[in-house]
Amino acid sequence: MSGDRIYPDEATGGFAAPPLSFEDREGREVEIRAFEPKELDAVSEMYADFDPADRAQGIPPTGEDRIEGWLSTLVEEGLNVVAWHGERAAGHATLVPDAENGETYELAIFVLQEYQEAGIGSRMMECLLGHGEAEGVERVWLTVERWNRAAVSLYEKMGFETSNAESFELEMSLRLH
Amino acid sequence: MRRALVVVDGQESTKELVREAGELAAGVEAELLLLHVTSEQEFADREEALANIAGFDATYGIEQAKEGATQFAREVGRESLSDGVDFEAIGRIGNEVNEILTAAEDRDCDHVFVQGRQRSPTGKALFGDRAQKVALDFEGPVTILTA
Repeated sequence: MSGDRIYPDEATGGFAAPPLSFEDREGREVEIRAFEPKELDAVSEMYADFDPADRAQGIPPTGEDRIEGWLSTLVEEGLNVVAWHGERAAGHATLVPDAENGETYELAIFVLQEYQEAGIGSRMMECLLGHGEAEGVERVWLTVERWNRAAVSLYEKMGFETSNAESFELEMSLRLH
Repeated sequence: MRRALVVVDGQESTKELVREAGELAAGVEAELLLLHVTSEQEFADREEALANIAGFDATYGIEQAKEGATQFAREVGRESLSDGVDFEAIGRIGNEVNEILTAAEDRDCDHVFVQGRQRSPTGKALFGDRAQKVALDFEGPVTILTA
């Protein structure tokens, strides 16, 4: 939230841009593509199925209206990728610009419960960062709950570094260019 | 508490903060000041957007922006407080934390109310460093609403 967020000196680039097709660890054919407006309903449905126990820091919101309002902001303002298992959205990741300057982007990622722990999250991160890199995004940040070791490890694997450990939430950042 | 400063922002939760502060202030007959700060960036964006509207010849400057911020604080006050509760609306332009501290000092406020939770661009609820900085730098009690 602050304007003086710290970013790594070195850029971490070379991420694969979408689309990306692969077989996940459960043997499912998954394709990650940049979001298209006509896919909004399918992504809304994914969030309607989202287990409230997996919500973090208040998102995704609950209830159809709130999900739609929240999602419309993400797709109108941000860069988005969606992981598809056939017609079904299995995951969604987003980069949303900061209102303050529009040069830095916050990252958030969601994988539907039954598709978790199958390697989809890390490939979606890769595609989202590749998408951002191609679109000229320079700096990316995120916050994560401290206890969420799995998420922190994934972010570190992608090149994120801890930029602020003083707040309740751990803040991490990455430079793409 | 003699004079309370309440920080009003654009989030829905700001109304609850104003209501709570209003009740506490009324209980001890303290004065109530509602402050809204427009950031320099918001001001510059607005100025640029208006300048790009063909045929828009009214002036938009610091004074108009301050008046806009004051108007915003006034509207939130009217919506959140019951009729008959007196308050004064203040608008300022600049860095939010600095303006909060300066306004509190200028107006000799002895208590600041600020919303602790803020929404990040992706909608995450964050504790945020605004409340933390105000709490550390204001020389008096700061009430932080985190609901």
